[in-house]
Amino acid sequence: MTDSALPEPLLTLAIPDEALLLEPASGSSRRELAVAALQQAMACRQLPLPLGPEQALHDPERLLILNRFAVQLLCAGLLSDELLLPRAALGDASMAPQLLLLALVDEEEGVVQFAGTLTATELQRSAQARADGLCVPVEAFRGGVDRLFTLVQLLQPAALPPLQSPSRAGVSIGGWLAGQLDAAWQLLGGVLLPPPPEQLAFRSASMGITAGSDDLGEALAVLQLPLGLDTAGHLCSGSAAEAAIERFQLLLIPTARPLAAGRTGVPDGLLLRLEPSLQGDLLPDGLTLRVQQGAVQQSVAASGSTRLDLRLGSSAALISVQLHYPGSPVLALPPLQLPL
Amino acid sequence: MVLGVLEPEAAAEAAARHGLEEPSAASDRLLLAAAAAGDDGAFLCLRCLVSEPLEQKVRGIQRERGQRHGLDLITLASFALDDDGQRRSLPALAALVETEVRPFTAQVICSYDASKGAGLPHWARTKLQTNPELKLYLRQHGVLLISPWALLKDTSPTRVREALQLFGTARISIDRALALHAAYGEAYPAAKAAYVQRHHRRSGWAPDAAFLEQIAPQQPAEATRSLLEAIDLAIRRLLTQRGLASLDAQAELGQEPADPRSLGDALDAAADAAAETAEQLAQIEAALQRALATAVPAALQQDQAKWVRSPERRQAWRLYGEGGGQRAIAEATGKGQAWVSKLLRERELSITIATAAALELQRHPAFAAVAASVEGAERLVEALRNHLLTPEQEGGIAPLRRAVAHSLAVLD
Repeated sequence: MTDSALPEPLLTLAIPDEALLLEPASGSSRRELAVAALQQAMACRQLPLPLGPEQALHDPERLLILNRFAVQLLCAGLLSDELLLPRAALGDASMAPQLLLLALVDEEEGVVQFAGTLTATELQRSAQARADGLCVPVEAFRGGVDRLFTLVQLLQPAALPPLQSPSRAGVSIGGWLAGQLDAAWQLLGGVLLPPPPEQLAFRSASMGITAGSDDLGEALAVLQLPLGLDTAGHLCSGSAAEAAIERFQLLLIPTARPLAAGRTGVPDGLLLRLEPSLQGDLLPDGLTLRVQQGAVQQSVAASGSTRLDLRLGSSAALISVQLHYPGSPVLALPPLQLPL
Repeated sequence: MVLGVLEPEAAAEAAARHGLEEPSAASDRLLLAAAAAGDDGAFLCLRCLVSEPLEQKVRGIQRERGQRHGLDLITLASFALDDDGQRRSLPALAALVETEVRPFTAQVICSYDASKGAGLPHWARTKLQTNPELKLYLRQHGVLLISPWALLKDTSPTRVREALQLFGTARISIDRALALHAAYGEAYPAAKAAYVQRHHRRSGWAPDAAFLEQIAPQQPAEATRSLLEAIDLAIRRLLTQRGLASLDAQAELGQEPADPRSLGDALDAAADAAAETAEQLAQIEAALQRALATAVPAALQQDQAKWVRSPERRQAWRLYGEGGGQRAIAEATGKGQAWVSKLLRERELSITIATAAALELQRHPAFAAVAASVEGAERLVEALRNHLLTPEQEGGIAPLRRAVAHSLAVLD
């Protein structure tokens, strides 16, 4: 493209009409400006809604309570196009908002634009799971601050479920057998495939898990997690993985020895299988599956591999699973626990 | 050698004396050395050269935002092109505090540090970017200058990749650019925090050599700066192609068209018993009238204090009450459309009134279910809002506008 055919580089940004212009005190943080803007917005509309906690309004670690609703105030730059919610924050039980308000802030100019409001349910639908957290496009937020004011005035608090945070404790694999999948795994795009018993035997055979093998019995359930490498060569999961250039999947298969006395149907082992999504494909070289169960760590890396397997036995220790790929942030999965 | 419409003879004489034909980095260095040694003609020559990129940037701002935001080109130019073409001494001006140096072209030259690697035209554009008077004027008219360092920080890797795929340079591969961008983003918060602590202000941060070496130790700092600026340029071109960035697109929407469907249709979505529509319509009308009677006078009273100093504001409200569109009001008042939109705040006002009416309606059993459903609540508010903004009959005046006209008459 010749220079004359190139678009002119953008020099300026129009301050949206709904944006609030504040006089920033030197060193005002985004949070401070956003809270001031929220208070100003209520004053302009003559809405005397209670806003708290008064002593912690500027604390980015705390939720706001607006008219009995728990609101997470998210702040980003005025020019932001994506928002990354760190996984660590999502795991905090004290951060369980019902509504999320996004403020786009220019600290230098004191401009605050409320991009929009999402309910916790809407966030979980809009967000893409990444290795380092949840990624949400700014354009997913809608309705500005007016949507927030409408919802907190008209709805009963019970009408808005809070954001489900990943459990700090290990997710019990036993729940999978009952078809229950923790929200953390759902957010990652995990799908539970609890086939009926007759299919279990077929599936076990097709997966190469045969009854009476050295340390395995039959598969009791299958959790399928779509994974991939995006165009930046980073590990991704869920819907992002479905659009990835390299696609593979992690199968988590609780197994049980059928003849173990008193333990029929109770998983006493876990098979983790990493395989390409397309039959006949190879896994990306360097892709590594690493599992820690208590003091025991196992690791296996792909090199011209069609499949990687790791097997774990029953233990009280939590199971942490990580995927590694050169140049990519580590993809750490929610911790698991085999039932005792 | 020109300075706007001026053609200072002294500048032309100095250029001829130094054997200059075309502007170049080498000729800039030559003239700088001469000016620092007391050659006022060489200094004037440099001021002429610097004025061209300043004029280009001023005209660029005017092209982007002038019409909608009522930017006056002469006023814009006054911040950067206040040079009268008279002889001045570089050594004398360099002894002053930088912010006191005038004209602005002289301030650009006095603050220029060739050792940082950037050329004089680039430095001129950078200095204009941080001109406080220009920034204040633009802010008052609803416009912000986009800082390259803030743009880089706020732009996601996804957008950077897209920008480079379309408008990248052969100087850097996309993967290397993404890695540099990621390193910049990681180092930025600490560097900015240290700057704020040291200078007690947020504006004016730019990466120094130490920062650049930290994020890319394998190459010279100026090479890293150049690459970051290339990424910035690609992003800006993408934003222009996208229709001036998402925030701008919202601003450009102006008045939103109301959904023309009748409130009666919307009632079925909100109310339980369709057979009682007539009674519900009466309840809705009453709730809306009460909400209008509270909110509209309050909005006008909030603005009334400014009418003495700015009678266009009252004029705008009057024209709005008579059914005038934003563009017509802007033309009649001599203001930009953005000014009109920001004054009337129609969307905000209509939502506030609709929500207040919905809050009252919730007390009626037919509308009680609204409290349990996001979709129900939003549908009801949207339907009420549409009713406020849509004339009951074609060619008529919408209820919100009639309320404004009525409140103005009461205030009078």
